[in-house]
Amino acid sequence: MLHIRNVWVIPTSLLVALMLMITPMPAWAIPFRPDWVALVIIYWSIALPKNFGVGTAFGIGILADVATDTLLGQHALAYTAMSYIALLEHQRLRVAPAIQQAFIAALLLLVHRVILLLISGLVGQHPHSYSLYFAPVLISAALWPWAFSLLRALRRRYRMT
Amino acid sequence: MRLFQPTTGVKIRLIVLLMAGVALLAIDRRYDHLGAARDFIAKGIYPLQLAVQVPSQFVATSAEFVQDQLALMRHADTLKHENLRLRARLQRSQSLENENTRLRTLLRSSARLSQKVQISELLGMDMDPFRQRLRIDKGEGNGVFVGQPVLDAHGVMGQVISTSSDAAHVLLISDPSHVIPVEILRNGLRTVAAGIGRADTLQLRYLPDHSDIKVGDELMSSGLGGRFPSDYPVAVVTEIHKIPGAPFLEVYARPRALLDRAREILLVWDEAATTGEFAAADPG
Repeated sequence: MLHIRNVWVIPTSLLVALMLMITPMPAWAIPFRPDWVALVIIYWSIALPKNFGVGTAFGIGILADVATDTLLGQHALAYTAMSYIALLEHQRLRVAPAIQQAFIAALLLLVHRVILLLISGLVGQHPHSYSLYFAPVLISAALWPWAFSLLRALRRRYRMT
Repeated sequence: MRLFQPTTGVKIRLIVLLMAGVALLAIDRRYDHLGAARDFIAKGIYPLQLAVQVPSQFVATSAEFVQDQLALMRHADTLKHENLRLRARLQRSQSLENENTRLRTLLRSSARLSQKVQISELLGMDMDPFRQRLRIDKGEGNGVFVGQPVLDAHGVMGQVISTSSDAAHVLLISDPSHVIPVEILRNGLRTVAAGIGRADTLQLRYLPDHSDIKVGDELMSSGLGGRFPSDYPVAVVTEIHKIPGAPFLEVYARPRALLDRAREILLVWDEAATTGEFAAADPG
């Protein structure tokens, strides 16, 4: 792991995303809540692959598991797998145009969501309807360009290279 | 040109983490050993949970603040009237309760003692088709225990499924994994109401197709199973479908409690249940 300036920005952004994940919202809006943590993990995986790794993704996943009271390891596994794929593809992703990035982000989010679904299924929690289950994937992917520019601005502001 | 390729280090780390994740899942699913760790982390992120409450609470408080005097006075008036009405009803129920206790002592059955309740506020909720849960701001430190029934002003909401020192998770009756034993107020017919993952619907299972049940029937908790206190309103029957050839009716009911809207909830300590256990343990 390389030493860079202002490395605290990474955990801080992850914690802010975690807070957005548990912010109270009106009940109708909850199925559409974007997966902020996943977006932030994807960003740091492709922007600073040498400083952000699967271990951090796993750690924030454990926090997410406790915060949302899911089985310990459920989010952790999903984020770890997603982050690994993003790390593998980070060169291609970094230079891709925004639309293409959003598309790949959607695929990564889909992987994450499917892993969550598989684990829920294994322990016997089946959703009553699947139609809304994948809504956050599309919404998060649609928000990707903004999340990307915001986090990139942060990274440049704190000169993390 | 390869700036970065997944070194064996990253791959090994990935494999170790995936195995650790699967192991955690299995242990958390099967045993209780991770409770302490979970509690420890929960304490760490409790400030975050409080912080995310601030905006919505600020909106609520400032909305109250800017209400004009007249509206507040009207509000106070209706509350006074309601208080009066409820007091009158309470007096009547007090005398009924006394009479009930007397008759029960005559019958030598265990008397139902009064129930202690405490108000708790919502910290957050989790309402997706999989999981219908709430987080509340009372925990073990306030005497909350796993399995404790939770009500709101209108009816049964659910039960506590996990506690930390100053917060707890509540499984709502609408969660797909939750089933509550109920009886129909009109005729005492017993059945169970299962959640289907929607805050406005419960399903009544295993009612034979000749059952005496109508749309509008009130469902009360039956107290069977010993988890919930008896005779609290649970739901109202809204739909009954007879399916030709199927042995059971398909019946849906709407929960009485405002599962997705309540902000304050009631925790119940059913003292009758504990004394009942003592009585059972010591028949002499």
